[in-house]
Amino acid sequence: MKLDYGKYRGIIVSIALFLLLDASVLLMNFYISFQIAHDAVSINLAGRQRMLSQRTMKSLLELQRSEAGLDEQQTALEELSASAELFHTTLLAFDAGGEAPSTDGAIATLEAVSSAAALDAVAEGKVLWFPLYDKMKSLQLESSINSPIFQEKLADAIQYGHEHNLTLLMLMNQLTTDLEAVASAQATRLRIIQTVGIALALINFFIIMFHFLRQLRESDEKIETARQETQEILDTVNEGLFLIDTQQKIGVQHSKELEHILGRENIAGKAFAELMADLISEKDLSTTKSFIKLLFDPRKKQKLIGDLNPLRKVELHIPQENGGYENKHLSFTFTRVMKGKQIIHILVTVTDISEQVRLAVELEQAQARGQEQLQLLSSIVQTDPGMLTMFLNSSHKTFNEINEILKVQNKSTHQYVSKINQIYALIHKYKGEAAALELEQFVELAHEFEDKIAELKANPNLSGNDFLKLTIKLDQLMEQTEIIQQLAEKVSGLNITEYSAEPSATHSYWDGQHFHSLAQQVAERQGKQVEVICAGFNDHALSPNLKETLNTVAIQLIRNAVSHGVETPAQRKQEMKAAQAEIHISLVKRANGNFQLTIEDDGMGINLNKIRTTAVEQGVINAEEATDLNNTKTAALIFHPELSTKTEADADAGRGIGLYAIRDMIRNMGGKISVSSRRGIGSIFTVTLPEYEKSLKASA
Amino acid sequence: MKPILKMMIVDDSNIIRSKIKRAQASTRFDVVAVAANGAEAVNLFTQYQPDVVTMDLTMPQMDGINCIEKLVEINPEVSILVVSALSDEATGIEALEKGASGFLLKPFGEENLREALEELTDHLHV
Repeated sequence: MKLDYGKYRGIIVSIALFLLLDASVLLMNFYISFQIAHDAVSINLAGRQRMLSQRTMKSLLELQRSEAGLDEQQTALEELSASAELFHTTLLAFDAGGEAPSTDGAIATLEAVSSAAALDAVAEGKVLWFPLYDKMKSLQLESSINSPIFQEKLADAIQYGHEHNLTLLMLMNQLTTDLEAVASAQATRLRIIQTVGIALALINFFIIMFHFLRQLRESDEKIETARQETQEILDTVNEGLFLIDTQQKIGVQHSKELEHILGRENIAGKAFAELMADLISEKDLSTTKSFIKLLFDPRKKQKLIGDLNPLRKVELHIPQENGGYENKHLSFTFTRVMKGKQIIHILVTVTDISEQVRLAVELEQAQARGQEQLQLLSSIVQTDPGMLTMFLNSSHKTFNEINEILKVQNKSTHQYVSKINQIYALIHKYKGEAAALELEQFVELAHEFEDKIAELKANPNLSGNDFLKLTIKLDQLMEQTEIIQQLAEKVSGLNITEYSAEPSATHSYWDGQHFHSLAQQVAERQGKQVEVICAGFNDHALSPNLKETLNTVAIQLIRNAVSHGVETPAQRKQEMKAAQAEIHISLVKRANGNFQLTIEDDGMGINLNKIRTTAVEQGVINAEEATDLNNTKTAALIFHPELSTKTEADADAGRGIGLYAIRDMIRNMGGKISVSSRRGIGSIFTVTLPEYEKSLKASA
Repeated sequence: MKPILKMMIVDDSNIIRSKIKRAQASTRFDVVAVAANGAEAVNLFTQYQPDVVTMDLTMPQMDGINCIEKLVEINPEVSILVVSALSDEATGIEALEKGASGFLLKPFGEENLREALEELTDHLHV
């Protein structure tokens, strides 16, 4: 591993300098200590020279003393010889450098003296000493101490000694003093060096400390700034960000948004699986764990495994504080964090894509709407223009009527129920017409409208506000109708507003074909087969109003016949009937000018018992009334607003109110409706409507 | 200079096989073998020793996951790209756990495939 010295260069240099300084001081110390020790030897030997000069003199005088015995004289001579030799050797060593016996018997090495005073002392000492030394040497050469020559030489030596002894002592003293002075200077130098060294070391130490602390502070500041910046980023980003380690544990830091996105707290350090538990299915969790494991495998190509991310787009139900759940669409992305070639972490980014998903859904819906409009367009193209015009006119009329009903202020529940029934009748009629023209979109919308009405019906505590839902639905219907009107105007050049009230204008195009297609549709949905045979529809000039009413009535009755009357092919076979049922519709003009619409089917007829039972079940009549009810009155119940013998409402029937609405409409126009039926044979609905003028009056 | 690599295509669909083969024309991937099922793939793998394999997952006789296991047993260094329609991530992940190195989602464009193969083998010329 290569170390990065850059950051620490200053401190390394400082420490090196500190060590160098310390080493220098130590070395100097050694050297000077050694020097001082050496000086001490010199001082010692110089001191000994003083003593030796006196001992030599003393030995000379000892030799001269007459009362001394021969032995003593002999000892004195030997002492003289030893002292003189020692003095001589030491003096020469001081003069030119060399060895001399030290006081402890060892051999000391002396350097030649170098200071001026010492040089003078040694030089002058030599001048005085050498003659004396020669004299003593010649004494030693004499064989007998008592010989006159010896005595003479002794007297000469003593004579010389007396003359120079003090001077020699003084010179040796001077040498000693000088050497002491040199040593003292040396010691002073050592102290200075030590002081300076220690001072430098201290300064260096403080520099290092200062440097080190400054660097520490700087790097602390940098770390703190970096930490703060990271924190700011993590606090601000809109995504959930966190790291996962190889143990699939979440790192100590994560973005603040993560808690919000996942609705979890204390995320740091948790196992990823623990974080996601309860949020995603166990299967997804296990797949995700395997996926993360793959990401830590350097042999797998990160770019080539993204499609396997199970949390790329995931819907979560996040628990809320209020105990509820919030649905969110989240996207998790996993990215490797590399250090060199090693994958050390996986960075997880969690994005809330609920809005995108919502937009995508909306886009899809818009596309679907476009598709619907296209279908609508094609149905417009296929629809007979006259029929379409009639439908649109009728629609506007129906919507206006519903609107008028909605506008009326009501107070009692009874009034509300009546209001609902009126609206129901109108919308059901409208649905029938739309179905007849195969305008599926309108059938759907009308059916939704009916659902809303059913909701209101189920509500025992109705208020005016509840009708708001209906207003919204009505708006939708009106909007769609507006669209189809515009489309129709564009496509087929129809001009609805200029629709002519002249009977002749509608005469040519009403062949009843749409009755057949309506019957086919309804039958197909119910698995039945049916043929509609029309007669008389083109034989009469009809006012638009009458024509519209006849159309509406016929549609409702055909639907009714297919839904309630016609059996399935299997049932018909059992009854020995042809698989395909027939519905005959005819329109005739009676002599009195009234129009008579007859709708006859060969289905199962009205099941009176079933009507009785259902009427009791649905609370229309009570059980007692039911037993008393004759067949005619029972059959009349099929026009009751709240009766339906079909159990589930669908697009075709099951709302019962259809027949009720028809009866109302016919009555409003001054007409009447009757039914005759025979079990197993079929039913005939007969509708009589007054002629044109009367009907206008009636509807006005 | 990137080396020429021997490649094997394993897919039960003739159309996909042709598509992959066509995408590799004039690239550095030399298609040396084409197999329609896992068993055939194992035989051809031993015979031609390709460096790179594209592998479908759902195939008759021996499915992709078993086949990957066998191929990796024969040559642990082989680079396998799973090319499959994703019905469930867990299956794809299992294929990678068995030794494949990458996953390409069907349907794919020729350019997608070429890029995926380059990515799959980028460690081979470093």
